Amino acid sequence: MKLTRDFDPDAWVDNYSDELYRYALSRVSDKGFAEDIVQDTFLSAWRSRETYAENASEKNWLYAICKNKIIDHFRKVSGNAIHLSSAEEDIYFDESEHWRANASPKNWPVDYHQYIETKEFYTVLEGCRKKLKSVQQSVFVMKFMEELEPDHICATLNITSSNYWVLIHRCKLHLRSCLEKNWLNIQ
Amino acid sequence: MLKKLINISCRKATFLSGKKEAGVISFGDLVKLKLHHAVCDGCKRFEQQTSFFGKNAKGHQHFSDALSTEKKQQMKQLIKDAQA
Repeated sequence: MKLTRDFDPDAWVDNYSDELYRYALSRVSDKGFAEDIVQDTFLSAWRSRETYAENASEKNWLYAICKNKIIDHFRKVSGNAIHLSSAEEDIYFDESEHWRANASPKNWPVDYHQYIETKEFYTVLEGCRKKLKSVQQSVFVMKFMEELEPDHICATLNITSSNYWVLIHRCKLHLRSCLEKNWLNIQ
Repeated sequence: MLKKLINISCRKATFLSGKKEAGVISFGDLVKLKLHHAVCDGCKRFEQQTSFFGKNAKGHQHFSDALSTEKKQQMKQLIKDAQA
């Protein structure tokens, strides 16, 4: 097959490496992993350059490869067996499964929505995300940042559908509580 | 008797909020959740607050981070090696 297009990998690195790096970093939260993902993206792009569709933009093509590398990363770090002990939720709920007095969601200020554009919100959210267990972080990023379907996430992480819903529930319990304390400073 | 059928715990209600958000909640559970929210401010807030940060999570970017010049050079070299 004759290539109808000239590829210039040096230009890929010059033009897209920083933005792909920032994209990957915001999802895997580790500089070393993010660097590896960007590097693998370019290498894969080079090796699969014949599959590049003429009508796609080079940037979108590289992003698509990068997204796959991010999912591969989560597959690798997910480990094997996961143990879902319900004790993890006991800090929020009492024996009758209702909110403990100090854990019940507080009233957030009416104007909290307007602060999400700020860097501070994302910094706090990332800090909270890093406190989650590894598999919870993976689920959170794949669901809420990459917007993948539950089936895709379960297959990638090798978890059952019921485990998936438990993990989503716990991500939300932990992150909500963490944001309330550290972003809105409600004690 | 009816109360027993429709009553759910806060643990269950917050769990069901996740299914509702994904659009995979059963009609029966949706009714139970709505009835629960009518009497439980904590669970109602949980649903509003978590759907808010769920929707906005993808806006996250590291605006100032960048790769070092050495790292970029190294990447270019690796691709050249792959071309050989």
